[in-house]
Amino acid sequence: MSAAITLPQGVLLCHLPAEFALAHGGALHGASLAYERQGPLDAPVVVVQGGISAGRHASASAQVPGPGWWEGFVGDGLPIDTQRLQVLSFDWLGGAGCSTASAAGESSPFVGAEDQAAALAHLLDALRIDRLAAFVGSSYGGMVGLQFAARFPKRVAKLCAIGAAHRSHPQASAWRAVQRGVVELGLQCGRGREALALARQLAMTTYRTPGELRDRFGGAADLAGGRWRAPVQDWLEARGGEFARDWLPEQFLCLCASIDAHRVEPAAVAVPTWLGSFVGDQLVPPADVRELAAGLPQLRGLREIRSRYGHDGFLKERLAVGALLREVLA
Amino acid sequence: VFALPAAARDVVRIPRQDLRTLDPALLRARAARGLTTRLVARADRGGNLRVAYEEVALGSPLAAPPDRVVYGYELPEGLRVHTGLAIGYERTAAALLDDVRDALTGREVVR
Repeated sequence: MSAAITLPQGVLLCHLPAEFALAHGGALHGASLAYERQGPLDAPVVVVQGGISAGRHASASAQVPGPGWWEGFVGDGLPIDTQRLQVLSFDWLGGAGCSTASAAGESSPFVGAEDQAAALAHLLDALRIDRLAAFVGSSYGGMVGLQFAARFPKRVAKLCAIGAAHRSHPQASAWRAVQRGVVELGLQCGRGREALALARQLAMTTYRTPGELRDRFGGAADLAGGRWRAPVQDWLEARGGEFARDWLPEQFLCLCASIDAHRVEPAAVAVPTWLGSFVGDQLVPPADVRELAAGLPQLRGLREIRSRYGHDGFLKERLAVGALLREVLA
Repeated sequence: VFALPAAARDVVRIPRQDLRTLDPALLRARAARGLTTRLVARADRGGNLRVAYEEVALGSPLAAPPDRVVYGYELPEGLRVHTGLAIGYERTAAALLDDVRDALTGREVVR
């Protein structure tokens, strides 16, 4: 992985140990973690992490005014209240942000969710933060939160994992395996970006529910230029194109596989834990979250939220997810 | 970097802060404020060079541990940062000790 990065204004950087050993073998050399802090620096610290496409910028702040990935949830007076809490978020190792990741054409060492957790522990050491008030993670962020709580239980007072379980569901892994296959084929053909856009289109269909897609794109297909085109295609292509502009295929391969490799023993998560799941989530079915809940030694709450947005409910369901967050951070 | 070669060849002529000017109380005060101190070399487009101990925020790319060397340059899209392995904790400590010894014996510190 490359040790050269470009940092936009306001990005903070933490140097990881010179040789950062990875849980599944290999090491990152001279790696660094990009992060952002929001809220009073002397306030209790809450780590906030989202899915693989979410990064260090959770919401707009005076220091970094652009919109973040969790607007409406993080900010002054919001469920994660930055008037009384300090929010710490980082870019995933191996991903598309400013943390260390593969450059184009580079083969990448495998970065697991447990490696992200270990990198966070180093970041806390560097910032002289002994213990987090909470780790709030959604999707892949929830997986990393579970790994962090299992490995560093003394460093976090509470865990809130939303849309995440102790392992990936085989059906979700199957969909992701196809996405990686598309991207790998694209790389072999010299069309990695196009392949990545296609893979993202497939991913979008798994994030949402059949009901939502029916309501939004239920019209008839058109015949144009001799080809049938379904109403949903414009939306899919826009989302796929957007993703492929920001990500390298190699980065997607790294984090996509990281989701499938995630596995944690529920009994090892010895931290007061709140869980959230979404009825209709095709990737992390509520049954998997219930299985995780049954094995947790300190389960404090389990919310099953009905959402037409499926897995993306953590981005969309402001009232229900907000209520869960307020309960955790009370 | 393009403007540097002539001056950079003559390391002795580069203005550099003497170790003896470091104020321990200032270093402690920085640490208490969540800041740190690093030896930073700077070059501008005019070819001016300077090496000094600077106040550095913990989140700065310059807040590297002693086993790392970091250099960066401004680009329109942000700061391009390169990180490499440095001489390590023990050799850094030994070099600092040499500087202190040189300072105590009144010898010119050129390193």
